[in-house]
Amino acid sequence: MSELNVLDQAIAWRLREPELDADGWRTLVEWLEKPAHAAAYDMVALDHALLGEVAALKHATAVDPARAMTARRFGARGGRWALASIVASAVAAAVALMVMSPTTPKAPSDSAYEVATAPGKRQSVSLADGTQIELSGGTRLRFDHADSRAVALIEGEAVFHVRHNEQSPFTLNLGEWKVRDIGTMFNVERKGAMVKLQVGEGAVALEGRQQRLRLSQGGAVSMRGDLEVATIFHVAPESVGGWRERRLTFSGERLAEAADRIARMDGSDIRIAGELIDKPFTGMIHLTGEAGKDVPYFAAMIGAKWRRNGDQWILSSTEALP
Amino acid sequence: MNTAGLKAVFLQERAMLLRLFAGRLGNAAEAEDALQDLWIRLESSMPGPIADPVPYLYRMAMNLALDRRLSAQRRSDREHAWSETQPSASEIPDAERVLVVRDRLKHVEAAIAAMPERARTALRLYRIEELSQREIAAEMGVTISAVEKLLHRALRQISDAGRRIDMPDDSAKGKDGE
Repeated sequence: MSELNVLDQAIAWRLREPELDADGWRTLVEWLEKPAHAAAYDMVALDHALLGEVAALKHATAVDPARAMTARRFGARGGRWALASIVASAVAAAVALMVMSPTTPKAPSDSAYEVATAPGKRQSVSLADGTQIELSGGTRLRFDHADSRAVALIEGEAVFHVRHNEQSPFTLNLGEWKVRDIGTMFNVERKGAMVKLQVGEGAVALEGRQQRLRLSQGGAVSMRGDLEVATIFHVAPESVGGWRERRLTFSGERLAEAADRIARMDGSDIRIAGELIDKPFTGMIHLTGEAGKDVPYFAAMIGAKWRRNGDQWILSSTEALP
Repeated sequence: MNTAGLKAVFLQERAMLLRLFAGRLGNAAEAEDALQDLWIRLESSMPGPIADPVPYLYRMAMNLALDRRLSAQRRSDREHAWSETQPSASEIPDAERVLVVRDRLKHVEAAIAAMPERARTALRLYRIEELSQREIAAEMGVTISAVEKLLHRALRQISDAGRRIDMPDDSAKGKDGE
């Protein structure tokens, strides 16, 4: 075995992880017990974490929104069925089950389009059926001219005021999850596979690969698409979509996530340094929309010190180094 | 499988999970601590039915171990940067992290910039949109195995960027049956 192979093995493990079965995991645990393997795995994992910060990936334009939409449509309702048969995994089997559920396949269309906001900006979108969507900053939504009842949140945060229609339920696509509305107002936030949803009025039905949830007013859920972890909790209904009044409420989110939300609101570029990044934060912040006031305020609230590096704000621990 | 069922699986897999943590974190005390943490997370989350609880539990454990590894890595990077650059006292805590991570990030970004557009697209779908390889294949209109090769090559290029290959050679220490 050549020395390059350890790294390739680590990469292969990392790529296979989402599909590993019980025995696969036990084998991986044994593989990792060799220090050289663990070291290679760490390198791959560190880069994997860094990839999330690479601007060229984050802001790359989708191949072509219309084509991507088409592909995803087929993927969700038809194409996966064929693919599932060649992927012998429980995950694929679960997806296949969902594909078999009696949703009417829709013809792919070239009529998809996106609406996106820059960080610090907002936009309202009214659909033909009377549904209204308020987009926060740094948010991308995908629509379809041919079907105003199907919307996808690619990333960011938005409040939906959905006009209910028995004959044609409104569907919001969130990657692994789908929200079906039962006449409502709700707020959704998405970053990659992380999805958070809070219901302000009415109720929604939520469908994952393997689970279905129903949330009514004041219900909130936070989910990871890849893990199918759904944590359900309650919020004050009047606080839902609070970002529209520049109020952000946190209950134990990582500081990195809190900084992302603030950045979305005022367009600032905030970097949380060191271990602070993983610290949980609970509290409510009322922003002014001016980074010059909001970031120092946020820093004071979390007991961090801040400094500027060009346009970037760097927040770090005030504790002395060991 | 609900939370109670998941806990039963936790108990059944406990020994192996402990090995995972011990292997990842390097010492028994921290492994026990992480195992405890995992248990607490199981108690505080309310997952719906889970079809395949064992892989689910291992994924949770691996993510938890990685979080701990990465913050340990940040700590050691900082100590490293400290001894190498000796910046002025007030600047250190953020200067170091920015320095170390920026340095690595620069290499990662350069590697990504040098890639063909297809590889970049696959990487974005994999890492930013967190789609499965099956979904990426559907999105890009290629086979799953093509996606796997594309991602593997891309991750390898990233891994190699700016690093000397100084990984120990397995064969030097005997066969491990790969």
